[in-house]
Amino acid sequence: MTQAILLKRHEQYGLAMYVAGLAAECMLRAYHAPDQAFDERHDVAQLFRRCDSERLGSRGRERLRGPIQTVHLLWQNRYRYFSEDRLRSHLRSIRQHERGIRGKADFVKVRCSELVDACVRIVTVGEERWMSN
Amino acid sequence: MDEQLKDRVRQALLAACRNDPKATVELEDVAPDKVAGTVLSATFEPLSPSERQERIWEELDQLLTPAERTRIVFIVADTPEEYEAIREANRATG
Repeated sequence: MTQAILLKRHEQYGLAMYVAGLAAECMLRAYHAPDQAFDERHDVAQLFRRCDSERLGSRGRERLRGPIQTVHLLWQNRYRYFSEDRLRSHLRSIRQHERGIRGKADFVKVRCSELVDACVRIVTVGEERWMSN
Repeated sequence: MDEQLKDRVRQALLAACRNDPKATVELEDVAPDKVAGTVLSATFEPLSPSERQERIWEELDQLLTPAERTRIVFIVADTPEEYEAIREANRATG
């Protein structure tokens, strides 16, 4: 996550978003329930559904609902191939260029911050639960 | 999976869409006794991802008992446009 935050500070929004989502995905894979089939796709909602409920805990699952919805909406594994123009165009296509955007704020920067914050939350909750188990 | 529970989950999710007539709900069983799903409605568009989850969970909290709530693993709340774009992207990248 540190790299994602640094990339965001350096206004490398596309790469910051990709790296942040990747960290969140890795954390979800660490909680993969042993009795669930391995899913090679990068669908974070599906990975979250397949997390081990006992290890994650109901409180952990509850705390992650909002962040998982955020990553589901704003992150894709193919971002690693995206230029900033392509990312901008994608976010427009899913109508994420207007919500909460004030004045002349750059919607890519706003969505990047939203995604990075959600990923920090996922990694933090995951680490906390991991240490307490 | 308990069909009565699924019916109540469906009812709560439709209520979260403020009775949008075009809203759709898909639920799937998650072994051994849990449920996951997707609710699609254009009414989610102005809401942030966290607000969407808060809205659907306000309704689920009202209709389900605490024990029943623990059987819901995750409900995705998208607009139909977002859902199609995300599905298309997931198909493209595997």
